[in-house]
Amino acid sequence: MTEEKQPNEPRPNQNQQQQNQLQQQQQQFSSLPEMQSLMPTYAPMESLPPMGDFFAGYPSPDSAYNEVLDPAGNIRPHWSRLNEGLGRIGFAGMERRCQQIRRMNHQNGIAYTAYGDPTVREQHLQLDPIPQLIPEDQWKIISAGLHQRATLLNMVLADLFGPRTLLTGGILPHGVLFDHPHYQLAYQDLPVSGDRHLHFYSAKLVRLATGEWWVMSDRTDSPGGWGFALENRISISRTLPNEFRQANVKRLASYFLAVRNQLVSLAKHRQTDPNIAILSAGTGSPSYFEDSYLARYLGFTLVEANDLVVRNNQVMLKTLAGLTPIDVILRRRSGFHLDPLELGGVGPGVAGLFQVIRDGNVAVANAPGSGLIESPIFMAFMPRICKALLNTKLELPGVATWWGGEEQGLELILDRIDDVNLVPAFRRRTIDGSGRTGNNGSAQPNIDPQTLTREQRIQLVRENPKDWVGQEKTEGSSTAVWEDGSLRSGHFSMRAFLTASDDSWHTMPGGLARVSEKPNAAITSHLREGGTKDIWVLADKPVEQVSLLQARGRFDKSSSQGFLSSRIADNLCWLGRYIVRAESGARLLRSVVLRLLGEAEPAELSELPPMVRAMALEGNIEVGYAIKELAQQLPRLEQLLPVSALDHRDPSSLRSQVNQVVGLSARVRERLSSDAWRVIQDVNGNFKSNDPDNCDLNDLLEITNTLIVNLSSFSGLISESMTRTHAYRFLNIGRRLEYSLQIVGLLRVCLTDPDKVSAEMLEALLEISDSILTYTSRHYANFQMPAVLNLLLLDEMNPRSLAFQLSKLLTNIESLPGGSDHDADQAIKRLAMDALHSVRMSDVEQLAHVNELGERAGLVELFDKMDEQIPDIATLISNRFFVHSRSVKQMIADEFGITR
Amino acid sequence: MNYDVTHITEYEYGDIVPECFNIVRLYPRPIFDQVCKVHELEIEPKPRQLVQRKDFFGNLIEQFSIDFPHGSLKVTSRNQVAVTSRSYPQFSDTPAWETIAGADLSGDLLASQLAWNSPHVRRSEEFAQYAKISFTKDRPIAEASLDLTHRIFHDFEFDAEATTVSTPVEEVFKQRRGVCQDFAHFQIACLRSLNLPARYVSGYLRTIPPPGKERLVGVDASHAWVSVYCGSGGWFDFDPTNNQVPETDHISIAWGRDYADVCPIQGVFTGGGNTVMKISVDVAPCD
Repeated sequence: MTEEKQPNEPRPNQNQQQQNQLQQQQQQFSSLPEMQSLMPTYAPMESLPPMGDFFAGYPSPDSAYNEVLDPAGNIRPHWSRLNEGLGRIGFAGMERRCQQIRRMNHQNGIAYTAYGDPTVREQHLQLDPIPQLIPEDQWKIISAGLHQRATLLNMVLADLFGPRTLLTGGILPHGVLFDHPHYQLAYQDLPVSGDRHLHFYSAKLVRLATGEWWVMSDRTDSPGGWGFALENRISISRTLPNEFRQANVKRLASYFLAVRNQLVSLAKHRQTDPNIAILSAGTGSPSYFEDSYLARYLGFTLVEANDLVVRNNQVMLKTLAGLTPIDVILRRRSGFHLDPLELGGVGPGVAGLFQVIRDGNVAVANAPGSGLIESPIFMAFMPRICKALLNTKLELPGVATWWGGEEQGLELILDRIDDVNLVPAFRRRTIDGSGRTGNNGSAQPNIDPQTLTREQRIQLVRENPKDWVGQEKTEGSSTAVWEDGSLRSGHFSMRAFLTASDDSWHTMPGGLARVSEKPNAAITSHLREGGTKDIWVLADKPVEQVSLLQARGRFDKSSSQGFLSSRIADNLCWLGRYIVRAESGARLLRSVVLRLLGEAEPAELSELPPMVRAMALEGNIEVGYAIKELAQQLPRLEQLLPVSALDHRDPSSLRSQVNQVVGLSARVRERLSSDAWRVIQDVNGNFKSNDPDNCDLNDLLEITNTLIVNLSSFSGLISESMTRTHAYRFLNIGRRLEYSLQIVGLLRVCLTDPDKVSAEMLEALLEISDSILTYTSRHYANFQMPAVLNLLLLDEMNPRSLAFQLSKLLTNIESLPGGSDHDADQAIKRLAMDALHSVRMSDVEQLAHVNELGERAGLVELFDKMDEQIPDIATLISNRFFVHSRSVKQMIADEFGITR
Repeated sequence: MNYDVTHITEYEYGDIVPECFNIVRLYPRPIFDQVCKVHELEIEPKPRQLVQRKDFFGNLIEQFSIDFPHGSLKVTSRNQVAVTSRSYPQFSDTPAWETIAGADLSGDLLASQLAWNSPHVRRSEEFAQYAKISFTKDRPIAEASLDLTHRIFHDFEFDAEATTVSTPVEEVFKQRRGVCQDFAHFQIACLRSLNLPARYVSGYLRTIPPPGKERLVGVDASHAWVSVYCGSGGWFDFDPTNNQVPETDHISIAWGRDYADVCPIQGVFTGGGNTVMKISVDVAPCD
């Protein structure tokens, strides 16, 4: 790589630099005649950027390679066009666009974190609005080096799990393989698809002060980040549309096409329309957002291990329509426990998978076991491995790495203990693929050596030299970062992505850049900390337009996305139920709060006790409030309500229900529209910001108001924009089931005891049931029992009535997929018809009638029937359609147990 | 010596399970001069398919799954095995143990692989210290290994209550109690801590009834012992549980790095309740 900077050349001083910038600025403007009239004729004040020279005020650090400015302080040629473009946007304009990105990413929920855990705040990736620029000629060199490295790593895997010549030939010490914490015999001689172990590879790179690029680490198991790279590209190309268009930026779509082609090529039996699944570690995993993003973008089915089962030596997906064979699995979780039968463990896995692989009936990319060579210990041997396997040198050097297990390596580490980062020799991974590093053996599990003193570090290495490698400390290059309305410099590293393509590799023209304040490039993680950038690879001439839409058009034939897995259907049904549960809870709570805030003394309100009782029965408040004698001993309702509504530890609190809604939405993310997802993000954000200890009734009123509006708009979006597929039906079935149960529960508490029914009570019921407008338009404020019962139970025109719910429930049930189990389908239908029939046949006068015992026997009878039938419908549907993922158990074969 | 060996494993799931997947290693592999003349595997309920293959160490694996609801599983292995006396070289003629410990095993990776950590066995300085009392300077490796076998037999007490299948070998060393599996793991840990390749052997042991008593049927057990790499002399077996050098009373099934590699039956299933396993082994001499 060419680099003009001499290491010992003195830095130009500040004045010189400004002078240079000014000169350069004038040169640039002279090449832009149409801009000249706008050109400032004076040196700008510090706070204002010069028009058209965006990077002029960029503080450039001394020691590192500067990506933007050359050693003389001039803008590097490939940055000049962006410099002009951003200059036109100006600092204020840039800050506005930066805020736009933040909002957009927040709303889209772009996060590298687990969803649905109420105690964890989502960590949103900060995307810097300034892209990182790399000229194509330089990129070609990087790419060629990565092709070589990926080829080599694939050869290493093939060798280690095959003939092991690296071991017999003395290139690798045997312990590197045999003592590897994730080594499994089952990986040996396991056939691979497409004649390779590695289909996807990612490397982290930094640029040294000399301008040279170094590989800092390899990811070979289930490399992540390429979905984020695409998401970043979409955000930035929207944020800087003109600059993007003018800059001849290489498009990313070609990479995703290559990924797809590679996966399709692995399908042995169904080349034309293979079923491809993305195997995710699930919503609890930090990469779930990316998994579901990629599934939607590529049009593949997103699955978790529990969705798959081995039958007749094939991997099958459990769908509503039965078992569907899967041809190719894009593995997005670690290979650990992938097949509990052969790899052990009781975590989620696909028992029998390895035998299916052996028989060639499924392709898994990357091959199980590929992650072994991610361990930093391999970096220490890469130059030797390259010589042995390719008989040449590494085109792209890796960061200098020494292993403590080699005499010479240990000596070098100890000699240079201040200049190396101590890194565990073996990388340990969890199931979800997040790289939790620890050292081999259980000696010191979670020490960050960089926080130790020199002596402690020396001791650490001396104690277990085989557990450590030393990696030369490297300072990543510096680049311009946007922060709070101005430019600062940050250290830049990037993750590049490769996919196998025929018998070679395809590098994504771009990648995921990371900027960090820490100069030490080895110890920053890409996905969990701080800021990212889009990377623009700049071509000399206009680039070929690969439209993402066009590219996807080719995929439309793929039926993969048409599968609705049982798990997703189950989650959708529960999402429907929780939306209604949260909304009903919020409505009831709001009505109670309104009364407590009113002018009347709460003790005098006849409708309040039954309402409180309804809340208690739903578990929304302490049961004691429903019992007069106990209620007096409890804290005042006014104080308790906000606390119990917002208590996330109580599973039946409003907050927990909202958390369920958010968590379930995340689980069915790929089935929701972006707008619906944004509403859920809002719900989540609004709720999390509330502190139960500093919340009074007025706050609670506001919270419930917002929640009700949000949930209603979510429901509205669903009925307006969700296509009437089975996914929609299951969501709707959940809603209708829950609505029915809520109405019955509320009316039972409030209306079956004739003594407690007052006009105020009836009014409150209509208010809670969102039917007050309909009622008053018909009957004015004349609240009569039969009329209220009619509206809330029997009136099929009222979308809040029981009859309406049951009729919609039946319609949805009738459109469910008919399958092999005809009897079960009929049973569900019959029960739903029966429930609807009972309601339709009811007579209002009879329901309202009070018998000689002072009971509303007719009403009680109807409610009893509903409370029995509706849960039965739910159970039948669940048994018929949903897979109940049971935990996998290991058979404990204690052979010597008989004598024990 | 000829044997009829019957090994019955019954697994009650305690509830109906929809599916199970199993790997069985119950075929007595040819080893030394041992020959298995007849091997029958009977599985109830009958699986649709049974796959046979060799594992990494050459043991025969029989693999099957049952993909319909069932409440129990019964696996019966019937074998006719002929075992002849092993003609070991003189122990005193085996090489000094240091030459094996320091040997470059690049040419024999299978041996090399058996000198490292494995799922149940971790090398440590503590084990090396214990072993070194037997492994004195220049002592022939087979002789030293036999001495180690004697010492484990005397230092450890057989106690079926003290350990479970998952008790770590460090714990076994601490309490000096356990069963054959524990002693085998411990001896392997000692040997590997000296950088000596050692493997775990699973098999059966013929029980000889007390004088005047009939042999009881079905009360025999699976057994385990160790095999030590003695360089050009090959592999030598030692049984620390019985303080023996296995001869014709020991019938081998499989060998591997430790129990995890040779477990006679391993499986996974979903669902189920309180599971109960019954094992019955019968080793009947038939000549």
